[in-house]
Amino acid sequence: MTTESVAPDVEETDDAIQPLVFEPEGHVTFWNKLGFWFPHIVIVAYSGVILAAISTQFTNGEMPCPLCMLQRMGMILVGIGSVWMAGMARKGTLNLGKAARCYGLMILSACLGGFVSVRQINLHILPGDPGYGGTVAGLHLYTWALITFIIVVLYCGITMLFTRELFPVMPSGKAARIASNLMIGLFLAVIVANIVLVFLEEGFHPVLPDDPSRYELLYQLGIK
Amino acid sequence: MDTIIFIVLLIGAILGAKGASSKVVIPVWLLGAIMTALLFNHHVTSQLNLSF
Repeated sequence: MTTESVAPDVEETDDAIQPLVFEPEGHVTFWNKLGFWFPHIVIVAYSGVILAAISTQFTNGEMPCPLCMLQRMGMILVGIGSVWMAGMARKGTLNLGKAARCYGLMILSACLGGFVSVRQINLHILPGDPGYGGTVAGLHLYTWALITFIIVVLYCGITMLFTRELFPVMPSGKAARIASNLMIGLFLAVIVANIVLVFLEEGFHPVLPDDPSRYELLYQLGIK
Repeated sequence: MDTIIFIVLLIGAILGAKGASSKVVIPVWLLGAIMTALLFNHHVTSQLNLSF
């Protein structure tokens, strides 16, 4: 008597043959390699935005207020979702389910940061209010921050529509790894810069004052 | 508090860059997000005199 092995009766629909695992062998396209750089672009873009805010802090002498710092945190939270996607793609452990989690983190972070931006915009929305700090291209930094958070949500929506086509696969070659290392390194360096700057501004106080005007740590240590 | 939050975010970013497991990255991200939300709540000291 023989036993007959029966293959599972799987209907070959798009969902059945392509579960939450991306199998790149033989299927890696130009778009997959391009998709690898998308999370890097988010990281570099937000690093640039935060560096621009830091440069404003020093060139114009504008101390970042508590809400400004909260918006930077929102941007870094978005960046964590993005850097996680890049990290898993580099390691080869990314799949469609994990990519969805990264997009989820980014969207939730953008909502949190956007909520803070809206609060700050509303604080200065009344006619005659000059707003907080200087402007860039006619808009205050917190307004620009809201625009970037909206762009992140749009970016996530569009790339999620093409999740399979733009599934990030790291291009082979040393140059790609070095470029990726540099971009991720920049993002981490920006976070370290924020740790130093906010510690300088806050000192050993539990929170920042509503309208900070000096670097508290220097006064607490008797340097100034 | 701000300094501590940025340190938590740095840890989350480093873990993310290493492609760590969801069981590690998501809780660290969540901790950072909750601390940010609580700090935001602390800084919202009054209702705005606005009508929507």
